[in-house]
Amino acid sequence: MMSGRMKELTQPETYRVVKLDLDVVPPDDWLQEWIETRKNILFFAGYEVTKVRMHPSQHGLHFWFHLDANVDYDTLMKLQFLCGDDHARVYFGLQRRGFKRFRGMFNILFNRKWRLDEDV
Amino acid sequence: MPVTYRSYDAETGEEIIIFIRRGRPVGMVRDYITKRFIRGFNGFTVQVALLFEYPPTEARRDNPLYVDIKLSTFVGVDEVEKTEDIEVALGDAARRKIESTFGEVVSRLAKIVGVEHKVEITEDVYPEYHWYLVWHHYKNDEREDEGTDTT
Repeated sequence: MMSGRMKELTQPETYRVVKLDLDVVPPDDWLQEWIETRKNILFFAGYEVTKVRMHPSQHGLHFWFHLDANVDYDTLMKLQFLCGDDHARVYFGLQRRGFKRFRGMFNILFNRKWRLDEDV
Repeated sequence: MPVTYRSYDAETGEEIIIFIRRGRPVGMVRDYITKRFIRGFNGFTVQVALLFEYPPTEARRDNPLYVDIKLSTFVGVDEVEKTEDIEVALGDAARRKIESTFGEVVSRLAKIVGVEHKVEITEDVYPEYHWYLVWHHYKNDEREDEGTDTT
């Protein structure tokens, strides 16, 4: 069985999940409309959403939009931008474009996050 | 059976749960909407990431720097109660790695430490961990490095 690390290094760099960070918790009806409009944006870009996952985050909500096809790193970054991902995440994603081996590893939605000037 | 640990997979968003069955911990990935089990697991990968950015717009003496580091280790379901301690240990190790590579100031000014859990098998079982380090100086001079170490 191939380990996770070996898979990361030997498989072509493709991704199937658009990750979005929403730093606000909108009213339920807005949220449902937001999810549907994200699906429409992805459909417009040529992808069907097969499932959506959502979890509360420190400031709002994290989303995983699973696509029906694999995309490369640049496409993934663009889709996340078009879907209204947190702008800091978009900015850092752009800073990583020049990396070849590990850039996809840093498209992170943290389970937990803290700043170094706080107690850890 | 009461759930003894709950998290989610940072790659897929699926729910990760651990519960006790016949006196032994059992790990399952679960659809958090339907509560249907997707697959079992013996452990998961804990990853801690740290980011430092000193962009050209702020940098003095023409020394801008961008750094990402991620430390990754495998934790078995029978050691899940140690997860938070392991995360802190990895965070400390990430700062030490940044300090040894770029110096104390960069380590101290690094902005964010965050934690991810992923249901995937990796070779490095805690206290061993694998580190991935990428950096550039905003001059198309990207560098990537990796290695294995012990906390």
